Amino acid sequence: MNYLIHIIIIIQIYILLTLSFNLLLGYSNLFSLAHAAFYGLGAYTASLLMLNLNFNYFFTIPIIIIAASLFSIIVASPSIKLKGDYFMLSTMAFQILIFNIFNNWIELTRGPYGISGIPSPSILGYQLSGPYIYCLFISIVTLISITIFYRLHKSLFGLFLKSIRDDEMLSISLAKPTYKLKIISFVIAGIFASIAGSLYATYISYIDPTIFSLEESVFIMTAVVVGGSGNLKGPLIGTLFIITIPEILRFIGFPDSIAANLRQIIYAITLILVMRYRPQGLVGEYKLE
Amino acid sequence: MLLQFIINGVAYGSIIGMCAIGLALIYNTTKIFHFAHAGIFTISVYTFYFLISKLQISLILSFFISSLFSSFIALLIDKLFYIPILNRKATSTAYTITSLAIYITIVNIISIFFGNETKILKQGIDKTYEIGSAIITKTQLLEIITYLLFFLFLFLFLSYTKTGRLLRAVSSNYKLSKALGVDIKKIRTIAFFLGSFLAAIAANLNGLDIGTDPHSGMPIFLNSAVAMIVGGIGQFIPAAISGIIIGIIQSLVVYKFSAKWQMATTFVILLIILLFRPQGIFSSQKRIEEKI
Repeated sequence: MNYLIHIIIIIQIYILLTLSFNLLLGYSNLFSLAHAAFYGLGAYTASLLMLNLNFNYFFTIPIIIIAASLFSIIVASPSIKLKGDYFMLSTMAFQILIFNIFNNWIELTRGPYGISGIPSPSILGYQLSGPYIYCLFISIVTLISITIFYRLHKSLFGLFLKSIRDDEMLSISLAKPTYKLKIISFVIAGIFASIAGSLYATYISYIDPTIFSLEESVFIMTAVVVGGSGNLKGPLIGTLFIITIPEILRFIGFPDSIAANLRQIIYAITLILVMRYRPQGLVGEYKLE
Repeated sequence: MLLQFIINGVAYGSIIGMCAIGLALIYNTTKIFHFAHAGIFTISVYTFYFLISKLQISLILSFFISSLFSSFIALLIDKLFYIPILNRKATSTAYTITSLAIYITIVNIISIFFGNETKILKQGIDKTYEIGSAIITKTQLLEIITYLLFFLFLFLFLSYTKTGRLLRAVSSNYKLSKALGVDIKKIRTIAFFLGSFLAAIAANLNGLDIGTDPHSGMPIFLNSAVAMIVGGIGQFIPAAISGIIIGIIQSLVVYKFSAKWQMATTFVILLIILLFRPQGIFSSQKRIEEKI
């Protein structure tokens, strides 16, 4: 049962990541490979503040939001001026730089050894530890986030982003501030990814740089592309798919030595097939053509 | 001491340069950001390893068989995966995702069959030559010579042969070349084959020099992609030159700071270029509608 609760918690953390990535890919047509950098930024900020300065988890949230917004603006403002492959490369460059900082700035982040013993969040002295309590807590966070993304989806802001995605020239000619709107969407996505990171850190209580590598960015991208982007169903279905596949493989009983590789191959082949036969993903709205 | 690091940088830069010019051939003619290039790199060096260590074929023969084999794989990838989405008029995102997925598949298949540990392709210690206070190994010398030969060959090929000129025409204006009746398919095949062959040669030399593991292709691919952009899109020869520059800079970073900041350095270079000179250091300013 604890195992099932664990899976549910992980799925909810990934729902935050995929929903925020969807805001980039499915609404603003920004194919970013820096999402795991934000995920890691949140995780490291929360862990370092809690361990070194004895912060309460809930007081780290405002700092995470400020840090994520600043970093989003740093990443987005030069990158968004570039198109297509260049945007992807620029975000990838930031992703690799951040990974290198996590990995090599040993005095601060303990490098490849990772940070262990991250405490669970506590409200008024009550520790939110144990799988059930944590699952309840994270479900509340996820529900709030889904509501926010639903409101964004329905809002004028969401419509503006979609109009930029579908015809950027037309939006510019209608005097929509496309550059500003894209930056705002990048900041929102960055904040949610960082919060997901802080939740992951306090749940697992151990983080190391490899969790936030380029591969993780590709993994998040896979979930959204396979599930589909441009609406809320797509990322949710994509997350379910991508988290349950390895668990199913585990039950089929492949040897552990090849299970990890096999999982990667399954994701990759699914991506190829989706790009070939169903560019909008399983239930998505936006066709990645 | 400094001279030694520069020599190492030039040798590593030759590898990057060969990969970069291969990537430039593919990117300029097809506009596919070919992540699977790193996969081709890995396929070649593992085929090489398989031929010399398992089938006991001679070094030189396996060197060329593996390079040709992986170039044909690249053609197959183009036919099976890129052409179908080309016919659907896909954007760069679709190509990038497909290419990334192909790369992941290749690396994981290799990792299942050969394991994740580093493979050494050559037994014994390399013969070395002394240049002043520094030494250069035979493999490093071979890398630099091969690079120079290919550099010369490509320069002549692109400047003086009809196919080479058509290749440049397609890369400078795809639509116009198509309208003028250039055999785009043929040019595409040549670009993929030649580009992958260059990467495969670089891979085999690099494998002889420092061995290989399934993930060794990616750092070199990323370096060569940065070299291509530093050189300027639409260009071939500058990509090869900036490959050497990046190799030297990386080597100097190792000399001054630490090897762990190598990859970060490359991407700082990329960001500086993208911010201040996205058309590359060797290109002139483009017209506004051609801007990146």
